[in-house]
Amino acid sequence: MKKKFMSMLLCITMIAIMLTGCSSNPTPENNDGNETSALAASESKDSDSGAGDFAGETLSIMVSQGWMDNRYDETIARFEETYGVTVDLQTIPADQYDDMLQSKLTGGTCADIFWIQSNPFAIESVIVDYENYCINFTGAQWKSVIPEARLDSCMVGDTLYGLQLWHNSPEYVMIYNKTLFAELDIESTPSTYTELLTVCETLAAADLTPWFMPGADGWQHPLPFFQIGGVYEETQPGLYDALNDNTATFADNEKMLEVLTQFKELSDKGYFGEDWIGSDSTNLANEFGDRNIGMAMGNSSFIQQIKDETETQDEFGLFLIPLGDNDTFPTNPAGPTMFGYKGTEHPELVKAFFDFVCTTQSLQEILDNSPAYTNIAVNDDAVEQHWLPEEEEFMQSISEDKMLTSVLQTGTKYTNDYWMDFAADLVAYCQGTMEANDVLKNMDANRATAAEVAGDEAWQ
Amino acid sequence: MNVRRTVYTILKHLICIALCLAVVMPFYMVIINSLKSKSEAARMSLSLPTVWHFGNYIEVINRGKLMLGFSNSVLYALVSTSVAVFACAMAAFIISRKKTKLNNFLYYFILCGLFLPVNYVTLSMVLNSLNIANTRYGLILVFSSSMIPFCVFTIRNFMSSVPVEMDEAAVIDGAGPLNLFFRIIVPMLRPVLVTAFLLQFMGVWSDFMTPLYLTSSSKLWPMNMAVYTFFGKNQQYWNYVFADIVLTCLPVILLYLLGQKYIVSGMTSGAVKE
Amino acid sequence: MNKKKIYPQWFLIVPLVLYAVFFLLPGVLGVAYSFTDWNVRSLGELNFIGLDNYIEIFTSDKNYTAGIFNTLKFTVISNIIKLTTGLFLAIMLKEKLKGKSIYRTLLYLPSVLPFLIIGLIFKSVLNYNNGLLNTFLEFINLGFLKQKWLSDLSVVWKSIYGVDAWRGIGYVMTIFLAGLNTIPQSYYDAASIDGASFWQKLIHITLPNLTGSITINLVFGLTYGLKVFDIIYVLTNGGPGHATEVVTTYVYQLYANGQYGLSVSLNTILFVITMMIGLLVVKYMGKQEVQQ
Repeated sequence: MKKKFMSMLLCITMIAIMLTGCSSNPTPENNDGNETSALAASESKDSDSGAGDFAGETLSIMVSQGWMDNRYDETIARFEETYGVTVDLQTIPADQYDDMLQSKLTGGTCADIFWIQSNPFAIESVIVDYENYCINFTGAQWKSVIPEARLDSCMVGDTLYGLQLWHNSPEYVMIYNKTLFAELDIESTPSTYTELLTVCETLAAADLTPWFMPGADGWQHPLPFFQIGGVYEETQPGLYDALNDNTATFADNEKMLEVLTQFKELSDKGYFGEDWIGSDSTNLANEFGDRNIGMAMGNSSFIQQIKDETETQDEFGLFLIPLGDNDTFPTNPAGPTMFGYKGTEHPELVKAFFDFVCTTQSLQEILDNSPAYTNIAVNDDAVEQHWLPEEEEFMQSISEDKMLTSVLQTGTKYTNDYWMDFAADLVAYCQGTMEANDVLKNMDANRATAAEVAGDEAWQ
Repeated sequence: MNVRRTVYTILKHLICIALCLAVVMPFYMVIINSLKSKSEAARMSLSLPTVWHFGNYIEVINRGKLMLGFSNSVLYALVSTSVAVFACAMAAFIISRKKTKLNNFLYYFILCGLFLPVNYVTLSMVLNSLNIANTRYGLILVFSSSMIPFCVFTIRNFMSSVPVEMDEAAVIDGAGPLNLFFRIIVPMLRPVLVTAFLLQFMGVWSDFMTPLYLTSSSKLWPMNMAVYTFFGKNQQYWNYVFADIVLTCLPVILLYLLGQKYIVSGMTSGAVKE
Repeated sequence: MNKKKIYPQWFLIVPLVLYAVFFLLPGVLGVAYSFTDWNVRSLGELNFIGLDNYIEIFTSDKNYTAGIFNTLKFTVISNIIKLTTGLFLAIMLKEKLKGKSIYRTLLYLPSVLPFLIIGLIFKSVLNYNNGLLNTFLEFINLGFLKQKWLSDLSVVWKSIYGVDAWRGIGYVMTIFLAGLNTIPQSYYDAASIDGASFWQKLIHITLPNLTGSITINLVFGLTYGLKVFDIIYVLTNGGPGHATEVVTTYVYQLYANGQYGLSVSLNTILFVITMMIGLLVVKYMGKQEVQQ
């Protein structure tokens, strides 16, 4: 008996070792690159190094869940074929990504390419020692592809470090069921808080969850507070700059307190759902499709997802979150951005990858393979966008002067880093274990800690 | 008397069945949802799929590179556990038989490890300095070392039930220490060795924090990391996630079923005691 | 019999070296760093700041002490639940019962699952609106027992204990079974002849002979409880609000924010508490063993 067991163990070990050896060179899954090889050949003529120079090398990319997913698979496969290399794509769970990146950077074991969620302040506050960790791309051709508004998130001063390919769809505005609204005689979308309350009452009376709030995700429920950043700036012009200069605080800001109180009121009245703190967003499309909810926050492209995944015949629309009577647009020139790791063993290959990804063909591929996104924010008219008619209608209804201020978490320093802390405090507030002003005070304290660590003069 | 016995037995059965249902339901949910389409699976209900998507499994194996992950998992779990269990058995043997002050101290010294929280950052520093960071060897060594307190503790506790008379008998027959250990002691320790082996094996199998922090190449990743390929902030392919979960759990469950006999077969303690 | 020859000291080398280098060394380094202001975002050098980190922990607004208290509470309660239930289950399954091997197998299965999976499954099961548990309660007409399992402050800890027990009882039971099997049946038969009741047998035969298993389960249960992370992280992440924070969730948050020095200090406090409790238990059990 013992011998059988031992021999079984040995067999398994042998097989395992064999398999490990055999499969250490994973072959790319997609091979649709046949038609495009002619194009690839002509493109590689344009790049500085010949395609054959890199044969056999491996390019590693470290990215968080949700930033690349499978959208880049086709482009990566083509890249591998063109240059005869292997791309090792490491997708790290979102929760672990930040500290993974930090320990890899400080430990000197980072991948050739890494990503961060970038905004005008992130390179300094997240990467910190960017001169040591990031390849300097100044002068790269692909800079022209990045829209002007997003360059701040890719550069420090005049030096170019990162590449941001994101979308311009309105993020986390209110999606609502137009058909349902019409059936319940709700004539127009709410543009003030009072109107919002009325709409919620009507929806609640019809036995629906008025505004579905997925509290269990942990990161969604602070969005209404932060996305309406423009309204805080409008109420107190110069607020953002003051917050960045440490001449103003979140605490005691009347507008912010007003918004927090409104949020709690909605929660107390049950308009977010009976157990919003315990509900997450996995089933959101179905909730819309099943007509269980009237409104929810989401990216405008989510409408397409609802239509694809459910059999709903309803029409959907968008409107701005009206907390605090807000009517500003959540401009957000931030997004996942990729950087080259300065300590890489093949800087030229990294540069080649960045060039490759910015070609029209690649950009089109990335867009086409992103069912959740309807457009890609690039200065390249040759790319065919897929804007939804609902999105276009919505964007047209907003005047440009309402798009000037970026959202609170992007426009102010050190704020985004404490998103999750704020989220936890917000829940505590809604459950009555914390005061609204304390939630704001904690944010101030956290920002101060981060500022001190970064040696920010304004906080000395 | 008999009626009471029967009622008692029925009660026992009912409790067991209820508990088992509580255990099986979640498994059932995972399996049934792994065969649904993406949007159906998001509801996580217990209903049968409207369309049976067996292809989910193939998709998961391909996209998640599960063959590579599987062989990695097996390698780490098997090698590190085997090394640790045998090394610790040897150490436990000495500690329990030769009760010197030094050995006593070493025992408590190792025991401290049960309480030590793992610090991944300094650990990767250490690995770096030994030049084995980001290698399979490094991972295996780390896994082995983390098991040592547990194994030494468990095995030493069971050592006391292996009678010293057996050692003496073996020595009289002319056995050296290694012979004594492998021929006489190990067979007597079999249940606890297998228990320790199985428990640690499964621990390593599900560990994802350690490889996450200590490797920077996805070639070295064990099977359970593949789950994250199907997660996104805005897109969650629960059907694939569940299929991946089933595939990842299957080997461990099989191993447990096979090894179960050994865990509870008990020892033939009758030989020397009575 | 020459003890030195038959019990060679070098048997201990491999485990000791591995343990010292990969386990102890990083831990000690970590403790050393707790006395500095190590922060991943600081470009400058490391500064020795003595006990500042520890002072911060005990006086901060963030209520780390509540986390410490929660950890201790969780440890005690979860162990009582798991050990007593595990013991009774093991006793029940040891005797002749048809299909007991199936029961034993099934009950152990949850311990096999990775925490992520357990978290996902139970998040769905405990969902208020259409989760399995509430739906089931309604189905058997006990609808008034429905709760917001993971978001109601008065219930959330009970849910955590429940999920933890679901996962951990099989493990505890297995260890007890292994121990129970070393007790010769003849002891029980002799006691039955003397007219002993179930409880008397339990207290006078089973428990004393199970010291080994009890020690194992107690030590592991205690250290698991004090170091608990995965189950809480995955179910509530310390929420709702900060109601279910434990030391390790705070350690992780500080780590994620780059405040390594503070994180390691909290870790050290945990280590000290755990060590004191663990050593006490082991020494006590050791004495019991010797007395036999």
